Amino acid sequence: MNREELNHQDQLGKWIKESAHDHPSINFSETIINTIASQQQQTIYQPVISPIGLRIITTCILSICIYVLFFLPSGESEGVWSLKNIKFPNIHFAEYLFFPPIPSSNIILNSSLLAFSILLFFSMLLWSRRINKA
Amino acid sequence: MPYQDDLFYIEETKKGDLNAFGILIQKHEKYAFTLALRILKHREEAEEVAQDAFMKAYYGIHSFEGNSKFTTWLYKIIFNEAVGRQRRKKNKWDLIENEVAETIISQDLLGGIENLLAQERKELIQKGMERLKSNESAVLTLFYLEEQSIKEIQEITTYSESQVKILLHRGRKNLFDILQKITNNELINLL
Repeated sequence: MNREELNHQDQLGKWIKESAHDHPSINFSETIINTIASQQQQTIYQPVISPIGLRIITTCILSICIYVLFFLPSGESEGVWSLKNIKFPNIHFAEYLFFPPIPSSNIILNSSLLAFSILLFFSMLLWSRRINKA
Repeated sequence: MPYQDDLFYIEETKKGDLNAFGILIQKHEKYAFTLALRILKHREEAEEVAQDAFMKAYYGIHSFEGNSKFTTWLYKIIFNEAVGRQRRKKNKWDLIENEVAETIISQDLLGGIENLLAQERKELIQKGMERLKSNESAVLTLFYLEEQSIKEIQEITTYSESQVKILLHRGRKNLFDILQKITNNELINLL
């Protein structure tokens, strides 16, 4: 690159610098900040059960399944792999076909009144707490 | 407004201070917008791209480790955004041809431009830059206006060193050609 070319470059560089930056609209930064702020304010739904809670529940269910499948004493059957050996008992359904005795009307009335008064007591309690808070 | 070092605002933004990021935007908005405009040559689109780039920068600021300058990192996002949009729009991005013709610049042109009033010269250069190919005007803007080194331009554009040099050389030559055409036309119109 010769001296003349360097001079041309210097001049061009000077002019490009002189031409300066273009300006965006006045509310350029405001728009970005508002968008970010609105995105941050959006409701983020979180699961009711935490990941740890889910793990605990899964472990419990799995352990119950494993216990039932492999460790529960089941008479002649020795595990899940010996299902073909299971001998189902003869169930006589006739024995179970009975109607429970119907309680007397006094008992029904008394228990209904008791349940109603309990509910009334708790609702009054909650209502009074709300009034106190307000 | 005197600004502090970029790293200060970056650290504050990482702590959750949105106002700090607002100042960072104000500090760099002109540079970001100019680069996007040089590539896209459309004001509204350039503004959209620059805004998207700042949003990306905000959400990715935790990944900025300070190994390079913040401006280099930001320009890289803007460059990629703008080129991506350009590609979607035109389905092509200016290819880099390796051949570079010899630059022959008349002294009359240089003297003529130098003798213009500052405002007229500014408008003339801006017109010339608008007519340049996107990749040439982007590299010229990064090199002269944003004062990025060739190595930094390489990092921003992912071009090789020789490609950046070719684009700079060809951009300068084409800019002179365009300026010559503009000034000749204006002279013809005056006569």
